Amino acid sequence: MSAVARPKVVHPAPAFGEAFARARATLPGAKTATLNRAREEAFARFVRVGFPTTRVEEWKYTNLASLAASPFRLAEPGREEIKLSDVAHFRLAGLCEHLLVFVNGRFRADLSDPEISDSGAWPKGISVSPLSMAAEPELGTVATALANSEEHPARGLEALNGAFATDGAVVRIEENAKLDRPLHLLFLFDPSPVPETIAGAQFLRTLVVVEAGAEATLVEGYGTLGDASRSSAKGAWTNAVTEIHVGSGAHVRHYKLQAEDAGTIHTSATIATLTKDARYDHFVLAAGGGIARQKLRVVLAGRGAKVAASGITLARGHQHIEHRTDIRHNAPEASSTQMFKTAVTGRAHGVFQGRIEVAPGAQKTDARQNSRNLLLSDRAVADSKPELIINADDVMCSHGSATGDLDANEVFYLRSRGIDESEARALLVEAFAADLLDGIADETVRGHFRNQFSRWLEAGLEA
Amino acid sequence: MTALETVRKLAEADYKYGFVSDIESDFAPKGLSEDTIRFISAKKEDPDWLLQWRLNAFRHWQTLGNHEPTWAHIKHPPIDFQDIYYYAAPKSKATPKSLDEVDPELLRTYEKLGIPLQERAALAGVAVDAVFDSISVATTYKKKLGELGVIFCSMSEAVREHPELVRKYLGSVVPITDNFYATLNSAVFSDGSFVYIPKGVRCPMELSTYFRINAAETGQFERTLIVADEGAYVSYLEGCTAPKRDENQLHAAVVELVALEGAEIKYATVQNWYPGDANGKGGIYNFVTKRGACRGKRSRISWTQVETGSAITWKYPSVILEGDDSVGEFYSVAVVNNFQQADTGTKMIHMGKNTSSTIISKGISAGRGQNTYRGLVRMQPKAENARNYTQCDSLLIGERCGGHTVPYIEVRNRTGRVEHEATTSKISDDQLFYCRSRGLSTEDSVSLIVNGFCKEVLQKLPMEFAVEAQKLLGVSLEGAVG
Amino acid sequence: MLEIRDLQAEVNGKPILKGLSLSIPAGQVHAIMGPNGSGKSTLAHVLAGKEGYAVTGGQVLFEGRDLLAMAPEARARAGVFLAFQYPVEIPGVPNATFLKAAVNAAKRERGETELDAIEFLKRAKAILRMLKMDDAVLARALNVGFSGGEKKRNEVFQMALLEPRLAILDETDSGLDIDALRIVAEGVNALRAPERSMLVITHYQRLLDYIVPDAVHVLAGGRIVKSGGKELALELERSGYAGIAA
Repeated sequence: MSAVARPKVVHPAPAFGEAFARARATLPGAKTATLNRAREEAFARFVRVGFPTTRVEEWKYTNLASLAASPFRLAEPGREEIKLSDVAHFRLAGLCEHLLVFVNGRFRADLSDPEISDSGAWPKGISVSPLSMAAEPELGTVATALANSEEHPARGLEALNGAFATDGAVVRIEENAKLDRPLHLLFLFDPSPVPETIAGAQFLRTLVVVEAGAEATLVEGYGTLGDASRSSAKGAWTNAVTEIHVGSGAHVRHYKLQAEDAGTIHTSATIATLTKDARYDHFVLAAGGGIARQKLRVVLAGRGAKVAASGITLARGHQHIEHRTDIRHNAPEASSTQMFKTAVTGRAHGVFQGRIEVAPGAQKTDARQNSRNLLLSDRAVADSKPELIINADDVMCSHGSATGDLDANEVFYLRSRGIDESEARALLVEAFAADLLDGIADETVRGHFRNQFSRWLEAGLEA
Repeated sequence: MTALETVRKLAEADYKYGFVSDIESDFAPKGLSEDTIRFISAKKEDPDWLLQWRLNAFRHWQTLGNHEPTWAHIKHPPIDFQDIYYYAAPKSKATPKSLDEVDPELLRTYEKLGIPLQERAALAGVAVDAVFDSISVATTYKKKLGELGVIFCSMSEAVREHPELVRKYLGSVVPITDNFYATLNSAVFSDGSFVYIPKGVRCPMELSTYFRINAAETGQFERTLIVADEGAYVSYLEGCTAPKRDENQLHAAVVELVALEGAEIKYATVQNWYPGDANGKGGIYNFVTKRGACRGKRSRISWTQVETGSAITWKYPSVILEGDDSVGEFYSVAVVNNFQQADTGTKMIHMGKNTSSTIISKGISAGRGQNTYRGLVRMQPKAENARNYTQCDSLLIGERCGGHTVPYIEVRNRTGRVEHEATTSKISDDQLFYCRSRGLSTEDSVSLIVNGFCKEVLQKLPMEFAVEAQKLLGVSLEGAVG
Repeated sequence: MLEIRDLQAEVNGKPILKGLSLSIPAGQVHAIMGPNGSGKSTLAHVLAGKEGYAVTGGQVLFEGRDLLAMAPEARARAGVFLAFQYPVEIPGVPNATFLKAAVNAAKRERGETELDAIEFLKRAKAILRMLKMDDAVLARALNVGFSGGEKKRNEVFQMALLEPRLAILDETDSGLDIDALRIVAEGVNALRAPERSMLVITHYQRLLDYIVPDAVHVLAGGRIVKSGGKELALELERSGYAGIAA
């Protein structure tokens, strides 16, 4: 019998191998044997597993065929003329942060806060360094983490990231230390100065280790430089992986803003491992990119660990924005909550895939998930797949999902009080997301995200 | 003809296919090839159009390679499709001559399930001449249905007597290219039921009772087609609670339902195929494609299932809501114990305007069973005002089983409304103790609690089967607690 | 009827009952009062046979039989009834279905003929009328959505239906207002009989105004520290537990 099954694996074009060979010597840690080897292994994993296709179950809603078929190149470094004022509006208000700025995958000391380049400026127990400036021991830690990555048909892009990562941050918060202000990692794309050139790919890899009893707030932002009216960067691709280890009793708050322009493809993964009684709060606002897929993988490895994950997707035009969560309860008495809301207008497509997996023996697990989708135009599309894989019986697990337009009664009520329709709808969309924004503990960070949300609303709900 | 003569005639008819004839010509050789298809078609005396239909399906199957679907949450050794007999004459094994020869364990189960005495013999496959009463009952029903113009017969008979109807609807809901097993079934299906209810007719009886008494020998590749014309109504029950063994391990049936304007079809399944021994050896693989099309306005199709058997169950009874104001419903209880695996659910595809669907799924897992609900609710761009409500609950008994829920919710119309909820729980020690403190044994307590858990679904079954289904749940979970 | 000798029991490795002895003759109502943590609920649960309570010493004889050796349902069918302080909810199971199953389990055990649906409903409705409860409670799922007071009344309803030989009431008065208390007490009193004994566990004296006991025992530190007539309850009300437990 002839076998004409559609193949699941798309083995990468030779261009990737060529680019890797060329770039290797210039990558951070090129002189560190362990990191060098780990990158090589990561690249081999990528070749074996290939680009994820829609035949891989968890990628069924996001099609990267166009990306896989495009010629591959690394992004050129950003222009030197970029000034602090160009970056100012990406900052948190009041300058209450430690800012690291990366342009096209490379650290820019001139645009970042001064203490970043001065290791002596940090209080005891805190160590922050761009990957490109990291010392040997830190590079070793990065190598170990990379070598421990699992080979998986859905994780080809993470492996590629491991091979090509040109920069990112390496952060260590030692036992009981507390980071005084949010650490803001800002990853910006500088579109090619020549419009016809393909912008290329940037690979960012960040490793954050928060030891027992320590505390830290991390803000991760993705944006595109220049004004929005210029034609968007063609072929721009952001591939980012952020790994976070939360030690016993430690608490990490992680806020992510994904807001590149509509020509960019964004694929990123946040991988968090929690030990005993660790706490991890994760909030993401996704409003950018032409195709964007963010993955959150949390392993609750220690008893009593807690994760609270939430996210808002705002999609318009022809955007395709996906959130994929994968929470693994591997230890007893751990708890997880997920609340994801999507507002889709124009001809955009919002996707939420949320997975909870409870391992045998993970008794007294408390896992809850909720997803709500708002369809605001005739051509908007929303797909949800909330999954529960439960292998222990003494657990409390539930998920709920609701999809629909704004409630007509509510719209009418506002109008009957004199508010015009478009404003009424905007108010209701704001109300829809309000509780998630309110849940952001840090006031400055909250304000920052609220502004982003308001700006999106100002552009109107029709398209 | 006297009743006695009727029975004799029927008894003779049976033995015609029995062990009297030559073994070779009653078995197609193992494996699947164009010759096998032609052999089967010839044996069944298919008209040429049906032979061509089968061959098309077979040729399509060849292009699929040996690639069974693998996305379900199911593990089984790969099936060698060339190692299967695709056609075996019915009743080729020796049948018991009376209840005394039947396995006492089987009789004990019938007792527990409360199956009426006269039906036990029929179910145990006792030779026809001992089941006098059942035959006369069947004859009365056949007369009544005939008067109303209701057609209820085997698929083979329908192909002969009503070819225009069969040709019009066969494959119209589940096309031959639909999925791996449906394609296989289309090529080699042996028999099944055909039902046609004419315009405005309400079928006067549950087609369950009739079906049970005839206890047709269910084959591996059954094909059923039910058509309810405008304004018609029928309630059909497939299967029964009695445990059924079969030497054929793979069952790949296809059921198609068509409801025209204002029509309603209720299809209930109570299935207890042999699940394998306590170590998971043996046991039937039940891979079924069931789909209903609500073609006409205001038509309704509801699927109700109680699945407690099979080593592996893979089925997604679905409804395509084409007609405006049409309604689809899916009610399911699936139980897995020991090493059973079930990956079952439904697909509701909303296409017309003002359509609605309700899904209530109750999964119970015990032992090392793995139970997955997999459902799709899809609202197409033109499906104005579609509504769906889904409730999936899992009950886990013991630490080594799994209960999983994998819903796909795809909405392409802003006026659609989907509400989906899923919960996981266990039988709490407090609940068990409460029942026992009132004098109920652990077994009865579990049964009571499980029935309470499944209540909403059991209520949808025809009454006589609701009672049997309740008992069946108790029997399936024997030994799961304590 | 009930003879408890030097009962010792632990919960999660912690000793709660430390040598409790008590004797209740047939036909009598005995009350047990005590401060929180004294072991009142532990005693009730040990007598009913709940898991999680380890008996480390002593003996309990129910009508001469070794109660602790019997499974919970066996104790129930032998005629022991515990009216829970916090009755659990069981969704999807109608009250009537549950109770008919329980009544008939006991009847089977005693060799009596089981009740059919009609007879059962007749009996049930008569009792509901006596307890001033609505027939509708029969169709409702067991305790689901019942208020605290409704749950307690449901327990007394069950007791009346099952006709136990030993009824243990675990803080039946908690959560009841005066009117509900009176009705529940009337129900309990209506069940007093020469062949039946009751053990009323309560924190407050108030219930004992309505269900007048034949004897009152004070439970403190895991054992009975004082016994007396019904006046003992009033004395406790006046001077509190501290005076007596010392």
